[in-house]
Amino acid sequence: MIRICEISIKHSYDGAPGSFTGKERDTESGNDYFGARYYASSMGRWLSPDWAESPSNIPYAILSDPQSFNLYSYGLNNPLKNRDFDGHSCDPDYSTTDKNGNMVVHAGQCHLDWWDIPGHAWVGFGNIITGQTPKQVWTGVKQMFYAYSVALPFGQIGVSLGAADGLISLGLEADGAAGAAGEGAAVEAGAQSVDVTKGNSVKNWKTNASPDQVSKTLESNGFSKSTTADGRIQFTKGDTQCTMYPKASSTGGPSMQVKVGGEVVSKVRMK
Amino acid sequence: MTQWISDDKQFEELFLECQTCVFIDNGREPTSLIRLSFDDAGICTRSFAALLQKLLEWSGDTNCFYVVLRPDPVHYFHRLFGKYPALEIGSGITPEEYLSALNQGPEQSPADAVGTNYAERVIVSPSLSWFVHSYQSSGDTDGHLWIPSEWVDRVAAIYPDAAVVASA
Repeated sequence: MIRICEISIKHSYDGAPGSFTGKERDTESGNDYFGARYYASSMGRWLSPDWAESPSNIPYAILSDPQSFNLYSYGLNNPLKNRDFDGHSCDPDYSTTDKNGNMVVHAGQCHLDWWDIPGHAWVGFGNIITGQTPKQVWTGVKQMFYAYSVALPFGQIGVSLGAADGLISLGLEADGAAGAAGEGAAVEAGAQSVDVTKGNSVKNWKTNASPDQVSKTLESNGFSKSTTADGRIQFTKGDTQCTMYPKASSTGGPSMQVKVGGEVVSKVRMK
Repeated sequence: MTQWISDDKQFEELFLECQTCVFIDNGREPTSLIRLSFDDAGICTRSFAALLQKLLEWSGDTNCFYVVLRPDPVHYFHRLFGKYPALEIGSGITPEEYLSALNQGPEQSPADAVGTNYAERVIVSPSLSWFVHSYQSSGDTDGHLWIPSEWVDRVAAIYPDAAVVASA
């Protein structure tokens, strides 16, 4: 028989819900109390492995997500997106497709919203959880990133910034045209693009233009936009296709592939 | 000839073979094959199509399979489109037929073509004497071709992009 023992721990609490995701901070140890476990923000890890009331080799494991096998990581190792709100690992977001073919993102149990973060400076965002278009969801994600990036350095202070400042901090300022229409689209003609091709590989470009800038340039040059159910964006004009990849495995940054006649002719690393 | 894989049993077996390839590429399983690196984007080019045909010829395989492992082939692709993101590629097809197959998306969503919407993919032959495993990347070394050591010079002559040996 397994007996669950509840142990009452008296902890010295600083009284302000201003620590990581607003949880109580123990002033003596500096750890944050989430209920099920203590979190050491100095290490970015839980102090103890995750546990479950019912016996389990790996509590709360999600077989499709190896990050869930780490019993000490917070928010499936993606604190920008997830939270372990009660100290246990929990379900991430998932998406479905409605009858019109639009992607609908549903918040998992551990979904982190911008309003969950102390010190966030941003108000007036829509709810990015359900029933919105991929564009709206993407916008929400960027805004969430902004809120988080502000929250970390400033803690509970809170900073009041306007929309324009936010865009600049996200690197969306207009610092040069992304390029013109036509083959290689858009980016090869970019004002500040560099050829970083090695060997006999397809052409590799590096540009300081952001995906948004490139997208706008493509659309203004007559490319039609389509989006897959998982949010991948593709622009098409004639036999030229430009596909956006939000996170390349090599750089972790956004990139784009340009195909002409079904054959990849160039790749672009974006800002 | 190229054709989609929609049979559950066939895909299950194929998926397990692909997992073996991934394990080998990640160093989790031993192999006597040699790894060459190339730009993953090269998979969708005419020169790579020609290389594939040569690999089929050298290994004696009559076909190979192009499989997208991410996005999830079952929970994403099969759920939405009723088939798996896997193509059987026969020997003797032209580069144009190969490119056309990779860019032929499901009717409902052309952008989900297996040569477009991928983060990780494997090309594997029934003999398992060679395979390709690649991650979508903005770099130029995230396509990995595993071949017998005696093929290295031949591959380098046909497909110079893969001439650099990254590791054995």
